[in-house]
Formats: sequence, structure tokens, C-alpha cells
Amino acid sequence: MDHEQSYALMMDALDGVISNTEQETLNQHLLICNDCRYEWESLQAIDFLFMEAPMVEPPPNFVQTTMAQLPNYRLRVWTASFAYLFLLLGGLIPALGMGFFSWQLVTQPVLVGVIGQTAGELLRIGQILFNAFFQIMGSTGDLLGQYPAIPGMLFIMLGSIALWISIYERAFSPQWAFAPINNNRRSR
Amino acid sequence: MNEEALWLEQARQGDQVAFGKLVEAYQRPVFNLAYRMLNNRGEAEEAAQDAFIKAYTRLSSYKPEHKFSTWLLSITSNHCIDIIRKRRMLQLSIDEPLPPHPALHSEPDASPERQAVNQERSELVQELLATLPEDYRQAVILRYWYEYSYEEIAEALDTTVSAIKSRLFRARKQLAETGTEMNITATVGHLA
Repeated sequence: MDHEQSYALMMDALDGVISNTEQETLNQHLLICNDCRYEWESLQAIDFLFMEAPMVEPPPNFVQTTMAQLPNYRLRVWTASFAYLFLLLGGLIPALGMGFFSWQLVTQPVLVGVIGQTAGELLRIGQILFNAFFQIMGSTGDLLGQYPAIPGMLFIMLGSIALWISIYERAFSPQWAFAPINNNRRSR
Repeated sequence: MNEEALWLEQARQGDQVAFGKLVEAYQRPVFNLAYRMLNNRGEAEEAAQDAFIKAYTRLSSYKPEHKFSTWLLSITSNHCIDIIRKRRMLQLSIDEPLPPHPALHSEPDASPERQAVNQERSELVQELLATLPEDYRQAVILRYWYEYSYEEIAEALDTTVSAIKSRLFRARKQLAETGTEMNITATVGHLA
């Protein structure tokens, strides 16, 4: 029997679930294995020590001090309810007032007519802009189809502009023109 | 309905007096667990109080099919683990010397020799427990001081029975090795 098997039997013995045959096997092993015997004696001593150790008593005023720290749920519920009601009324009253005045305005016949006309005009403007956009796109497409060199020319022009902007920045930027010499880097 | 179930039901509805009865009934096991885990009386008192407050605020999540004591000890044990982790983060040692525990000298009729033996035993127990990792320590405390079965320990620590068996096996092995180094057989024989 190896040490691990011996240990497993020791645990069963401590838990009181070892059979007679297993107990005999363990006893036989302990007679010939000094390491296991010393550890078994230690285990028994620790088992005895822990079993004998009493439950530690709390301080005498433990219940009172604990109870004093408990959250007061009823007070919390009341406070939360009042806060919620306050917030609800704070939002609800102005909302109701606005709703009432809006209703008063909307129900006037002249105002309803004006709103209808404005909406119609806005729709018409939208339609015109939509059509104009598609016409521009269509005519641009036709133009590019007839003269394919135009996009190429445009790209060259944009490239030239970007190049000249970059040259201008490098040549006339004060930061570039008066940049100090990095002495530290040189000394290294 | 037994007394405990009645107190629980009343406490769930916000009755603090009923919860006070539960605190009174369970103060000793909860405090003992905290003390054995933390090895410090002041911290144990605070941890035990926190555990009761946590239990009170989570009463709605308690399921009556489990034992209340197991649920309460599980809260205490987890809270102690949190404290140990925080303590470790603050670089404090758990092996700091223990103040003598007054509860162990509560035998007014005991002779001075007996009181000295009690104190020595108590220090030895705490010294041995302090050598264990906290998850092993939890299992050992619940096994020895509460006489929990493997199944009950597994329920309290929210793990499997085989995990608990393995933890206790390793914990005992570690304790035996430490005990052999400390020549515990002779010490306990002398204290017995």
C-alpha cells in the first residue's frame, strides 16, 4: 500500500466510516511505515485538539450592537414612496398643463387651417429639392459619360492643390523655419 | 410551524424584533466561525455583525427548503473570505500574535493551570488553522466545530461533495505535516 492509499484510509478512520478489514490493513501498514505512523499520530492529535476546542463566545452586548445597525426598512420604504410621489407629481403637473394648452390651441379652426397649409408647403418644397437633386446627378452622369477625361483632370487638379499647400506649409511655417537644433541628440 | 420558521416569516416582513430572536439564537456559531476564520476578535465581531445585516437584507432570497443555519453560515464564511482577501491586499499578516481570548477563560472555577492550558490549546488551534488556505480552513471549521456532513459543507460553500472531500483530505494532510514538524503529538499529550 502506498502513502496515498494509506492517507485515504486515515481520512475514513477519522470520519468513522472505515470498515474492520480496512482498519486492519491500515494498522498493518502503520507498523511498517514510520512516515505514515508519525503523520497518523499527528492527525489524531489535531483531530483531538479541534474536537476539544470550544465554540468561542461573542461579546455580551453583541445582539444589541447588531440590532442597532440593522437598516430600518419601513422608514426606507416610506421615504422612497414620498420621494417617488414628489417626483411623479413634479413631472406630471407641468405635463398636464402643457397638454391642456396644446389642446386649446389645436382645436381652434383657423390654427388647424394654417398648420395644414404649412405642412403642404413643406411637402412641396421637399419634393422640388428631391427632383432637383436627381436631375443634377443625371446630367453629371451624362457629362462624365461624354467626356471621360474630366474626372482625370479633376484628380490632377486636386493633387496639385494638395502638393502646393504642403510646400507652402513647409516653407513658411514659423515652427519649421526656426526649429531649434537638438543638441541632446547630437551629444549622444 | 416551528419557532424559527415563525421568526423568519415575521423578519421577512420587516419585523426587527423577530430578527433579533434569530440573532440571539445564532450569535455563537456565527461569531465562532468568524473568529476561527479571521483569527482576530475585533474583526470577528465586525464580520459577524455584517453577516447578520447581510442576512437581514437578503432574507427575501432565502429558500426555506435549506436550513437557515447553513444559509447564515454560508454568508458568514463568504464574508470572512472577502475580509481575508482585502486584508491580503493591504499586506497585513494573518499570523499576527493573538490576544488572549477571554471566552476561553470563562471557567471561573478553573485553576490557573487549567486556564493556562486552555489558552495554550486555543493558540495552537488558531496557529494550525492559520497555516491553511482560506477555502481549506472553511471546510475544516465547518467539519469540526459544526459537525457538518460533507453534503452540508458542500451546500454551505456552494460546491460539490467531491470538492469538499478533496479539500478536507488536503487540509488534513497539510495539518498533519505541520503537526509532525511541530511535534504536535507531544504538545497535545502534554496539554491533555
